[in-house]
Amino acid sequence: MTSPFAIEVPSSLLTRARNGEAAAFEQLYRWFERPVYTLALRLCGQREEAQDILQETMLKLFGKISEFRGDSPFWAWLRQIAVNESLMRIRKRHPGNEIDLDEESDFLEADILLPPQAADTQLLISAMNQLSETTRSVLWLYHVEGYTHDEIAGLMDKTISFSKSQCARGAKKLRELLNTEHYNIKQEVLSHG
Amino acid sequence: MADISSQHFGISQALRDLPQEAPMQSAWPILAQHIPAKKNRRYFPMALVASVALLAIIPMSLHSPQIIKDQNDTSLQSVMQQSWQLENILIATRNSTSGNASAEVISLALEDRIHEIDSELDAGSLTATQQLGLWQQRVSILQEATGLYSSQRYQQAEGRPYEIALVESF
Repeated sequence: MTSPFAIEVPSSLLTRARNGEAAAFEQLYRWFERPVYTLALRLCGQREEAQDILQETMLKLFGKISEFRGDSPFWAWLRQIAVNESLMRIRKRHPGNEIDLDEESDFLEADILLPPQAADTQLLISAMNQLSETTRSVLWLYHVEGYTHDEIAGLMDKTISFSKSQCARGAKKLRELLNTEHYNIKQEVLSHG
Repeated sequence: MADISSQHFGISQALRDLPQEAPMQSAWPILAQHIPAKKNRRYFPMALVASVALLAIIPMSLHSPQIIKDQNDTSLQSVMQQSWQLENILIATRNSTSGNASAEVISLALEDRIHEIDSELDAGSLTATQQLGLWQQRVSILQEATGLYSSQRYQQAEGRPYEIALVESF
């Protein structure tokens, strides 16, 4: 599985950025603008907030690039900043615990099959946006970014069971929503026909 | 065209197939105002008195394709890469010490020219063509400096006075 973030950055570019070269920072911004923005949008669901997360993530990149030691790929380091920034905003919006309490529900099949309407980008995005922010975040981090349940649990300060449960129930809900959305659209077309 | 009306998708594939999104507006104009201050790197004086050992590291011609790859490639990325490579060659000499006033004057003049270009690059709002032009100037100056130093090192290694080498080559 390849994350949209997986862009190999030459060490020379990082050296120049560490030395404060504006052109190097701009290059990094151009390369990672879309991956950061897309991740933020998928997790938080709002364009304005995704824009803020993009800006905050890049500002942290500027401020912390001297701390990057190269133990992991640069893109993974930057992605972690973006994920943390996104999850922090979700937590702020839901102080306490907005997360479903039913952590130990039975695990359904994780990689559930979605109906054909999943190929319709707008339908799928619309269905995703109807999930809770937490469920959506777990689904995205697990299925697109390749985080493990253990890592997601750590990010969200939850248990591994919680991550697995969110993944399974989120997928099931997504399938239901896609069928419903498809049905609603067909009804709308028929009523106008 | 394949009929997908009856196909089912794994959730991983379906989500990964979603297109990447672009922000409503570029965040760069705001971010550009928050770039950390550039480190002050006054490496030229030290570079001027590079140890003879440098000759063992740097090929006689610093313009050779082995060091600067694909010089005919004039894309911005390529020119920036050339600039970085040349700069690293100079930085590699920073442990040396200078004892020649004339050489330091020349090195400072070159360094000032580099800083002027860097200031223009930092100013932002440049077109791609303008950026490319400035980076090419930067590479040109760095090539001039590295060429000068390698030549002087070579003449010194042959036992010729450093001052004479400077006058002849600059």
